[in-house]
Amino acid sequence: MTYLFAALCALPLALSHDLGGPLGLVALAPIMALSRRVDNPFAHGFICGFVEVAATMWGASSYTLLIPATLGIQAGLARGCLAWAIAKQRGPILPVSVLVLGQGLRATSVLTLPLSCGHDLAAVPWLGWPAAFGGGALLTALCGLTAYALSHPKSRRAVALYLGVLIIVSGLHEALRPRQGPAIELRASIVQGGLPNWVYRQASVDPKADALIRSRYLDVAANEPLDRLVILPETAVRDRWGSGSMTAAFRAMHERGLNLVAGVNHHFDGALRNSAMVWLAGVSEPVFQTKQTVVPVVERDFEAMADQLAELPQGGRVQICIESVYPRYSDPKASWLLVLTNDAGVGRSAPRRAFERESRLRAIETGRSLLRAGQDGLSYALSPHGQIIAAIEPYRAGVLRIEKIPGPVWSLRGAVGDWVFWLCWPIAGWAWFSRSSGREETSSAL
Amino acid sequence: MKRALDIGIMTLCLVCGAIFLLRNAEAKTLFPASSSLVAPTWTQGLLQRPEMMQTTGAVFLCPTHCKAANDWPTTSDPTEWLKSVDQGAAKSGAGDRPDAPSLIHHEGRWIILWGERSDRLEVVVQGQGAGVWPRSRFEELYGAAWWGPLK
Repeated sequence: MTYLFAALCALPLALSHDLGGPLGLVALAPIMALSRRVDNPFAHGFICGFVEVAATMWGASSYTLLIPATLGIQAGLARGCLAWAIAKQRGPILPVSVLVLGQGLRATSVLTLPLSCGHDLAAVPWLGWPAAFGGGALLTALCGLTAYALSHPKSRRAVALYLGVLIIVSGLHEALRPRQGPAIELRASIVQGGLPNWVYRQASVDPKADALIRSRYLDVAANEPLDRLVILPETAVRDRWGSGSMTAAFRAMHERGLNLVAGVNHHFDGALRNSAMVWLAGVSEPVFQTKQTVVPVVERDFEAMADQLAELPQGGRVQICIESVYPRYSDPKASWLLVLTNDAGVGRSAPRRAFERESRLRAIETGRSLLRAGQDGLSYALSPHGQIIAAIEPYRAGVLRIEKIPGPVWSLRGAVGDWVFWLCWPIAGWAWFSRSSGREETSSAL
Repeated sequence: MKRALDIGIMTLCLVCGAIFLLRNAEAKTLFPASSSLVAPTWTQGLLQRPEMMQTTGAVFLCPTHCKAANDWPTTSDPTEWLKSVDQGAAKSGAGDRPDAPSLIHHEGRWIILWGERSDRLEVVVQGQGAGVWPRSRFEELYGAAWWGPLK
């Protein structure tokens, strides 16, 4: 019966990953409450984590079974360790630092996925701002502390103190951090095709689907005014670069004087590369930035390559799809960021909303404005504080025209990296070896 | 008291699950792309739009100038038919595993395997038309006679 309860504890977490926002603050409370009074807390935490990811990933059917199963096991291990740390009854420091470490490890490679109630807070700018100070790790810690206070009534005074200190210090950081430059004049047009994924999947054997893709992207882009930076999402048109009508269309646009950024498939250096093509007016040939990491199984047609980074106008940098989910690919030296994505690939399921939220978190962490070009949304412009300045409605075709974006703002997270995650290693070690606090109360929780 | 609390928490969790289900009820729905491009449906294991049922091998490989060609090969050796649809460069393939794009003779019918992707096979099937197969069907084609590459 308690194992069924553990599985049910995953449902608030799954809903938090879907909705984003304040639910993330309390979504861990049920599993924390359960963990302190079961015989095998690790197993209960594991079940909760596995069900959490399995439920969240359910709608993304094209990801096959292997990827959700792998991610589910990782989440199970992370939540299992959290439940084990709760059961040690040594106060909030050990479980919260274990929670942050588990979360941080899940943001390290493409074989992991940072589904996190902390990252969910980035959906709402007034909840996400502490990320400029301490990144997604600090948001995760805030969620862990809040849920701990709910599930451990006698620790509420101590937890309130920790939360108060973190919020005050983050607030001071927010109030004092300097601007790093003026607003950026960027006349950009993001083309959103608004087409569901099945259109792309069968375009090679369905001429009408293929024609619709070309009209929604190439025809629309070709009609943009000459002084604009025209941005198309990741592999919207799936021809290979170098021949065919897609290349001819881009060449014609460039010859007219358009600045172009587009996701294209490009075969070079012996393999097919998922690439961003950057072709600025006045430059004879395009520059390609290859995806530095690819999703296993789903992108088996491609090979990753860490090569040159393409320079965008006004000091911007581009990231391709899954790269935006992992903080290390966001260059804090850039003055603004661009994400090209094909999120139509996960349908209208919860993961697309969780992936999109990662773009907001990257903007806050780095203190940079961010443009996002999705095949069917969300396509938007974000301020360095994670606020949406302008957007196109999802699942619709259209062009998002931007004239100016806010300039960069200094952030501690952007300047020194993921310091909260690294700080949690010694804190967890100290909390584990420290016996001075003794065991806490065992009264009922929640 | 503890039991009542447990029931309360479980109820809240179930409410969260119900909201999650409602929000994701359409996660796997195939939506129409436009007023003129309706969503495909599964027909005998092939995902296709209704008008794709009319696609034949000749129409697919040579849509403009091969009006006289048969829809599909009429003998077990498709060499002449391939020439008639402007695919004279395609040769009998070696090995059990067909390389896309290729023409395959499998269980008495002809199949054009146009694309082999990570999650699907893009095919034109004799008698069924063009569409998408789940990738899991690829192993069914192992050992079949095939000709390629098509262009």
